[in-house]
Amino acid sequence: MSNKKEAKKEIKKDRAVDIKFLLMDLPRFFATISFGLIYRPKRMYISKKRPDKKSGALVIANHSSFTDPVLIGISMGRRMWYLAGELAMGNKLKSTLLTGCGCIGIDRNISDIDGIRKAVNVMKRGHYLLMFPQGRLERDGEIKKLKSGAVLMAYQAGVPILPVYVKKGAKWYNRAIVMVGEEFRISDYCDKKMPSMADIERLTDIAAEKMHECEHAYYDYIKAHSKGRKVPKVN
Amino acid sequence: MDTLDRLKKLLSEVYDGAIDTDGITEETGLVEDIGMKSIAMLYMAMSIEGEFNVSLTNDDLPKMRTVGDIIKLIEERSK
Repeated sequence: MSNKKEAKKEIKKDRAVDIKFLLMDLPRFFATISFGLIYRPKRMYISKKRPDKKSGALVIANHSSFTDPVLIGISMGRRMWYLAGELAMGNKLKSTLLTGCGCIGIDRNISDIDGIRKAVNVMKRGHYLLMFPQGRLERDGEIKKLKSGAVLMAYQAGVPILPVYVKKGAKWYNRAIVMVGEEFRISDYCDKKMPSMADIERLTDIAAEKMHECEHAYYDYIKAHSKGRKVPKVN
Repeated sequence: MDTLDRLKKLLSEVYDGAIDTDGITEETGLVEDIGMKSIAMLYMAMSIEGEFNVSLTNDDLPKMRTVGDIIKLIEERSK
């Protein structure tokens, strides 16, 4: 019991304004102003059930633009960590800056257990971690097959998965939409203490379905507000 | 239960009984004989950390080619 209380205290301390998060909070502050003015991101929920504010979560999203991490980061209203490919981390200076901003580098050429451990620990401490489980940029915004590493990390951290669909407006004056889905836990779909690889593959497909739900909700919203404008088709 | 038996149990859970753990020996290759993919390897490594209370690093994973290699690594780390 006391351990739980201590953990909660630790989470509260970790979420507070602190000098150690300056490199994360300062760019987030400027991004909120600049991106807020340019893209005017609108956060919407597909259901009335809101994500648990006290818990950490693995946020999974589609990746169609380089602005996606920023748009999601400023829309969720919480400090956010990001999972980035080792290539995106670049040279030592860029890597140091990005790490300060909350990026966790993952080397996709190897089974990067050190990187995964860092990411899992961040979520265990009650934070949000954003990852793009498709593994790369898909300019058309289409949700393709997800990598099963996302489910594996959520299971290891014991946190829910929060699906999100993000899309910039078709025209410069259209608002960007961040459609937030219903969070789900591994235990909602698998009652085993330790899920098998087959379970992890199945749960990855469920995560993809949840992302599709957000995508459909996005297009339904656009359709309802398009006032006769042509709406792109959903695949 | 010795380390090999505990590893067999872990493999059985990871593959949900889809592999015959009775035939697993220290010489069994993880990729060649079991057909383990990189994600399964990562999952296995994380499960080993939890089960045996050891810590593995990126340098350890390429060394894990056979079941015997894992046992050696666990014994080294738990000293």
